[in-house]
Amino acid sequence: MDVHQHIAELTAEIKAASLTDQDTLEAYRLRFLSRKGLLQDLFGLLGSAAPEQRKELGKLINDLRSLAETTYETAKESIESKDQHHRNATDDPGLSSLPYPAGSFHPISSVMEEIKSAFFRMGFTVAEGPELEDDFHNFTALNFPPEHPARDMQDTFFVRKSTHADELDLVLRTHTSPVQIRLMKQAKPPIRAIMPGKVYRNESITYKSYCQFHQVEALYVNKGVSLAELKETLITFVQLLFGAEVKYRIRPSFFPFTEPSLEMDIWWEKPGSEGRWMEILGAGMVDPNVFKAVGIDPEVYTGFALGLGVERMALRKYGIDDIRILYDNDLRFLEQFD
Amino acid sequence: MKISCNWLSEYISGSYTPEILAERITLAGLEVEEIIEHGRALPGVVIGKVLGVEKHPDADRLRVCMVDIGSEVSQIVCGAPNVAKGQTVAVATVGTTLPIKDKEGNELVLRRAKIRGVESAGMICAEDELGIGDDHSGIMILDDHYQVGLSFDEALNRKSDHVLEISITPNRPDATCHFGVARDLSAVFDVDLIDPRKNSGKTYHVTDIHEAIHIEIKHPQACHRYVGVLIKGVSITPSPQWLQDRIKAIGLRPLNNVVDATNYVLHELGQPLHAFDYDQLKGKKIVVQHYDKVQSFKTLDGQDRQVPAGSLFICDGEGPVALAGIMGGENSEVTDSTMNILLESAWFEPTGIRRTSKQLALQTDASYRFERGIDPEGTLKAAIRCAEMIVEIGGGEVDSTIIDLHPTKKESLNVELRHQRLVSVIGLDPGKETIERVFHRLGFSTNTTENGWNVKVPSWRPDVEREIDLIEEIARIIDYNTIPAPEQVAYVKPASFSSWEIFMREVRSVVRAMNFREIQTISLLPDTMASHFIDPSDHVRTLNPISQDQAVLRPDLRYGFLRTIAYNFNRNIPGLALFEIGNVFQRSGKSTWIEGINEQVHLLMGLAGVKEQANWSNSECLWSIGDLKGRVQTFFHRLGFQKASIDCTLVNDTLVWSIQGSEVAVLRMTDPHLNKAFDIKAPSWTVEINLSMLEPFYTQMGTSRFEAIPKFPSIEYDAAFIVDSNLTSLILETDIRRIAGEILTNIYAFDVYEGSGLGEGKKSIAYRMSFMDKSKTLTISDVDPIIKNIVKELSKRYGALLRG
Repeated sequence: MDVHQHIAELTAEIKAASLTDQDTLEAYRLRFLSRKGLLQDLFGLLGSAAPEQRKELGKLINDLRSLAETTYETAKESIESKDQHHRNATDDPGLSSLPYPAGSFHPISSVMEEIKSAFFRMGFTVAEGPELEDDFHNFTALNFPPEHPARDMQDTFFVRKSTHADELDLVLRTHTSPVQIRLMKQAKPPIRAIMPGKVYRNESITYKSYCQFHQVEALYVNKGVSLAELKETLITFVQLLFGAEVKYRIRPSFFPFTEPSLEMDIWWEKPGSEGRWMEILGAGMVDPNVFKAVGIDPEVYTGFALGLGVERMALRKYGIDDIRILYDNDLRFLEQFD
Repeated sequence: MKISCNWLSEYISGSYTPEILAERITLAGLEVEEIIEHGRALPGVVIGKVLGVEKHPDADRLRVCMVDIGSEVSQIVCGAPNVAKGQTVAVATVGTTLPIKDKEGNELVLRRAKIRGVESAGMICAEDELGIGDDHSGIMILDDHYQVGLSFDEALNRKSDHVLEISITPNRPDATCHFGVARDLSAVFDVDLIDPRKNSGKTYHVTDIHEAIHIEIKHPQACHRYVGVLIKGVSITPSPQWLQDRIKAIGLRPLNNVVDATNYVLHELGQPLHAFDYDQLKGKKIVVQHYDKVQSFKTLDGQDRQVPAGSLFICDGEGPVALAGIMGGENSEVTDSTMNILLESAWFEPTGIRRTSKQLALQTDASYRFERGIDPEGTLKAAIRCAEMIVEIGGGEVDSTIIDLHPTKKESLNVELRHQRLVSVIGLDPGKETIERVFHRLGFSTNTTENGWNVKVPSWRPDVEREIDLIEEIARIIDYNTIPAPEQVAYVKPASFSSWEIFMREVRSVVRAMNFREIQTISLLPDTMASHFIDPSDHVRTLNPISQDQAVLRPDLRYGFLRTIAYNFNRNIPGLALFEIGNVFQRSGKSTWIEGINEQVHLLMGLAGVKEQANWSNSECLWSIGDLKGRVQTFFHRLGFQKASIDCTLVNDTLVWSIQGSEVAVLRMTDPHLNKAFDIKAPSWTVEINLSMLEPFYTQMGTSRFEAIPKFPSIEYDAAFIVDSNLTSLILETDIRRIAGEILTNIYAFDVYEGSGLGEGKKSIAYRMSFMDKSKTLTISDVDPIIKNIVKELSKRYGALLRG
């Protein structure tokens, strides 16, 4: 048989070889590449070839061997990698998996932290106080006269101070303002701090009211603090929280501990319904009577205070329409805040 | 409070849309919560006459009426019980839109319809269906003189109105009436205020004695002023339409001309008035007094009330005839047969009225105003205004002698206002002219002084007493929104965070990193539940909870956790890892903020139920005590506490961690009785960490320093000990640590075995111990003597055997 034709046939056979598994691969190796394989035979023929043909024939045979080896290596790699992928049934990336049980913060805390960091950016620090307060810190020092209708604005939980019946009652703080009193009694102006915390109202639990909620109040006392500066602080605050485009208005209101007092509304548009003004915070210039109660001279210092409800902000932010959901702690709710 | 825009327009010049009124009055401090359209035009509603009424063939409650509506006679099916032949009625014709909502929430448009098979063209209307009242007891029956076919609006000379629902802050008694609101508006718009108390030309003799009635104030501190006006020969009739419309617009129900007139003047001027039937007053006498004992009294709403001692009464010669400032008595009220009236216009002391009103849970339009403080100078004028109105609409004559007792007079108040102070508080100078103009519009008079003004406060503004109050008046009328931004905002050097804040941030981040999920639960719990957690004598109880579910302040955080896991288990959530941070309260222990109250901030971490659901790689796995204990250790470690600085002891099945003798954490398995109380079926563990206690230790520690990474490898050694079943591993581990010393860097139990081969009452615990030396690589021969020593010691102390 003509050697050239034989080489051509083998070339064609190698090119057409279908090497899909270990068996066909081994058969191929034995046929072509083993010590007794066809290529070895061809090299054997080379010795008997005419010297003038040897060089050319040698090249052809070497090319063929190179082709055979490359084909073998490629096929081997592909078969082995296929084998690796299919080692175990459990290596199937398509198998379903359990979600990783991540931790999370409660939305009330998240909103609280957001509010706190807005104030931190404006240079406020933090002050703390108890939730169970005395009448002086919660009402009297804050210019709530006894028997005044202003006390009706806040339904109060009372607690007996001691087992002796005649002692003055304590109250679950109805706002975090008592912390302002504690702070002003102990620190010298300038004072610039926020008072975050839980407060209580003796109200029935409904979709829009709960017997407890969280507040953040802010207090700034210094020489020459004006209503204009309060206004500027409020605007900066709502812009930090709701973006520079937020639409707001400020209107006079009444709190016993500030004068003048005001409330701030922001324009709220819920998708699919008409926009309306929503009250988001109360504020005012610290009443001179409050300064007197804590021993700060109102002729020397002025100041402002403001306060806002965290739950109300959280409801608005996440579009929740029932405050009780916040306190149910349904895992399917909490998971949405991962 | 409801304020009618039509009514308001009588007192201020100029005309304004309801929207403008609402916006401007809101920005001046009287917040409008809602604008309600009242008595709007009703095109398509006509006067009709019922010609005939027959029963509906297929419905017992329905009638088929033939109604003449002028242009034709319509057949209308009507469900009202009071429809009858011959009545003059309001008929909504086909195509009319009525101000009531249909099922889809759209306004109802009347169409020709078949009702139970009978043709009906139109509707005979009740008051509420026309939006002019809230009566739905039956159709509205009109006076017969109205001409059939005429439009309803034309026939009744109706005007549409808008009512502003205003939320009045407690400092503004002057704004609880139309005239008061108008006064603010006159300042806002800078227009004239029109006083309705015009001089009628009649002159009165004002005195303190009258032959027909003797009036006496026994407690002048509780009743500063009492004005009594006699009106003779009045006919009690329904009020004229215009008055009824006014009364209805502000949400009241018209009763008769006298009562409506007193209500009208109350809502016009803010002065509550009461009309007595003069002929019912025994002894022709009025005594204002209180009693030392509880009084039984029937108010004119027909209620028998037990009125607490000390409440103020108006009495006649025999006993109480009115609960002063709150409500009249049934025994002296105006009835259809009343002819002579004694009209009362008084000033009662606010706190007394408020106390009685709260004790009786009875708030009325009158008490609402008295407890805020009405104008003491307005009583006489309001009485005359009302008396003249009664005579105008009810006939009779006002007695020209009026009694005015005014034993307690309040001096008018003058307050200094410094111009410069006003500018510095507001941050804007509105200018002298504006300031004076605002004051004059609001009824304050001013005298210029060197630094500003001496301002005389009007009698209707008890809230204005100080310079700052005057400044607020100016600020609110010029509108806060017009105050410009200050050119510079002060920079205050920020104080560093408190150690508490730094600590709390670290705590929250560590707990969050351990994959606990935060919950927020209620701080109050019912009595029955609280007793599960601490002794009732330590409970901090609320005195007046609306619900008994809020009777006790939580002594620790377990209630909220257990409630939450029960709630979620019931919703097929198999397992939870939760944390909460909150204040807890007890009477025992050291007082914290308030004497006698131990209020601390706690952190609870809890694990419950399934840790990992069964899946193709693992079978179901429950949370274990070890999972929680490990997390507590990580918590302390991450905060930077060295192991040696914290002691861990086992006390009655709870693990207690302490630092320098202070208990900082307690780990518990949830008791079976708690599981029963909360209906929980899966096991759970909680650890409660006292953050208030822990924080000082954390802060003392300062910043944790970098520790060099060990240069030499550690060597592991396993050893199993057979001990008595009831010996806790904690003791063994503590002893092993102590015996081995610092060279032992870690120890943990990797296997616990109980059962055959060990003998009754025995268990085996296998420990893996890691040893490390900072100066060399350890070999087994370094460790062997230590192990021998451990075995010897444990054998001596606990009879422990090294398992082969």
